Amino acid sequence: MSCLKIVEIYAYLDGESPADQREKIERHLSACPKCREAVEERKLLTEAASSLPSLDIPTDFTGRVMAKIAPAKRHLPVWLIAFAAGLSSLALLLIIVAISGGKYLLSLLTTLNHSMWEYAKNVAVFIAKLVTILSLAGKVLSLLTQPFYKGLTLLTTLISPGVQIFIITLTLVLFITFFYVLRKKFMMGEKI
Amino acid sequence: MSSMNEEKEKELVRRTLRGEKNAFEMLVRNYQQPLLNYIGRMVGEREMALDFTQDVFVRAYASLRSFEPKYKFSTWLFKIASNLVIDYWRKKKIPTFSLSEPLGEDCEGLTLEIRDDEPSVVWKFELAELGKKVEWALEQIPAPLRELFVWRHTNGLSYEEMAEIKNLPVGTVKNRVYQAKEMIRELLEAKP
Repeated sequence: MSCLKIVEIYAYLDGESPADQREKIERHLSACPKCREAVEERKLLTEAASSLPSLDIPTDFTGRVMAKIAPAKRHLPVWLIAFAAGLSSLALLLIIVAISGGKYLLSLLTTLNHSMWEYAKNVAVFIAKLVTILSLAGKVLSLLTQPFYKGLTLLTTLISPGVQIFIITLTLVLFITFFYVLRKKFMMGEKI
Repeated sequence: MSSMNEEKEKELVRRTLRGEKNAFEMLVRNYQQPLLNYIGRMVGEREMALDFTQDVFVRAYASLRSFEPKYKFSTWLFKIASNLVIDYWRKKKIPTFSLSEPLGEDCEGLTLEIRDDEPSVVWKFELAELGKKVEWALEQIPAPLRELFVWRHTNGLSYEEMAEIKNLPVGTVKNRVYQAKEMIRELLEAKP
């Protein structure tokens, strides 16, 4: 065997040479100091390359990553907390003023109860009005869509059932394709 | 590279998809060091490398549903990291090239026999010093070759895994790694 080529040395060191080739190389190495030295040198270099130090990683790194992918539970907005605090302070102040003004707590509670009842009545009236408006809107909408349904009915009498099935299938396929295209477009990350 | 076996990793992926964030945390703990070792040597700056590593996990988490269990999780993760690194090289205008294209005349160098006057590089430096010299030389070689070298020697990826990540034939990947090693050897040879 002639002297080793560089690629043969690396393949040999990687254990990638076929068994018969390996045998030949080893026989050659025992007889050729130049190749032996070249192999030894590349072996030591490879070992040095394989023991490069790891880079320092901060102790809180995992936590940082997890905080990025799983943000902490949503807290209530500051304005809402401030509003609630203000409202409860006001209620407390009213109670104190009422009691210190000589009213009994019981009568104060009765007054509050009455106000609450009034409020509930107002809300009920509002909901009733809203339901009426919505039902009217429904009626108007059904009047508007009637011509469309009539047109559709006429169309189904004109087109044969086979063509109708074809149109429905085509629409479905187009819709699903559109959905997947959009999904792929907005998908992050990589796929092998 | 990874102390976790493939099946356990896939189970952790399944658990993450069911909403168990601590399962993903285990994957982060397992891969943060290998990824940082790779990215750090690709971008050169520690803080940036930490940000990129974090970004890899964030992207992986966001697109975990697109992970196909027939592949190794590590391969998928390194592919995401590699794409991030390549984007960075492009932005920084760091010269890159297709690994499947011949790299000038040097590509043929591997098929040559050892020179008669080849000096020893390993014995030129103290063994402890050799690692630092390799690290220095690593920074000098073309970025795409450096990437393969680091995957092979720092991350311990197999040639098959690397070929899958880069979508290249295994033989091409092997040749490129050998070429990177030979370049490093030549750089050390020329270093005073």
